[in-house]
Amino acid sequence: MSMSDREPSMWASGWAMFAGLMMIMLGIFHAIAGFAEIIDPDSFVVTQKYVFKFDTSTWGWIHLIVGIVVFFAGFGVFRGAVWARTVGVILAVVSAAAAFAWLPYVPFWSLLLIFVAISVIWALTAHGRDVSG
Amino acid sequence: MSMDQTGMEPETSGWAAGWIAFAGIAMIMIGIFHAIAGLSEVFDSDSFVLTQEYVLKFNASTWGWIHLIAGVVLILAGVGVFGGATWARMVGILVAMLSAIANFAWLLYVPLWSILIIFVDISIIWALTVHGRDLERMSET
Repeated sequence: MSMSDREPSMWASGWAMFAGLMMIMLGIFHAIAGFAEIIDPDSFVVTQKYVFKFDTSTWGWIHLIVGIVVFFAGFGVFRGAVWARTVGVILAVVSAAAAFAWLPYVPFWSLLLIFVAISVIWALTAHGRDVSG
Repeated sequence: MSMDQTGMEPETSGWAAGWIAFAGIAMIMIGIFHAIAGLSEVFDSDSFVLTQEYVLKFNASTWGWIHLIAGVVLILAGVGVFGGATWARMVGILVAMLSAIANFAWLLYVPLWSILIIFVDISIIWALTVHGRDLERMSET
């Protein structure tokens, strides 16, 4: 725990809380998009040819699963454990990549997912030490 | 020097009040955004319709009322945040999260409105979590 003497616990818990909350929110966002697609797959279709054009309900399940994992990992990040931070960053990258590949379906949803995922990565990398303090 | 959890000298002074003010003002602004979106849907519910099937496709006027209520709550909570109380910050974070989630669910109706509100919600959460305690620390010294 030798954290040098810069910016201690107050900030630490603030960043951990921000990152955790963003992950919980990101998880819920994924879940909303996932449920929408699973329940009404015909409403979310891409007409053009596209390599990553799976069944919409397949995409729905991808969103739902990613969402659940990110949601629960968010609670781990609150505690600021190193493994949780690492997992958080990896999951956020997976989330952003999935959202990017899925963008032709609902561009604005995808943009938001990516934006929130980046905010998670930013909090956990640029301020990761603060998180764990 | 007793090094409890809060044992460090805060480096902030004017900044502290600044971030709280930012969060409070942003919440009031977002409350107004919600109210504008809500009122426009309540009054002209036929103008905000979704053609596709969607699980969360309520009447546009139902969404309008959700927005209106969220707007009022945000404005009140925003005023509370200025006081710097811990409970007000917790409420603020919670309300901003709910606002963001509701807007994500509502995005298919008016995407750009929704995106704007969510961006500001995130900035509120950031200010309240990362800089929320600045004001307390300032007053402790």
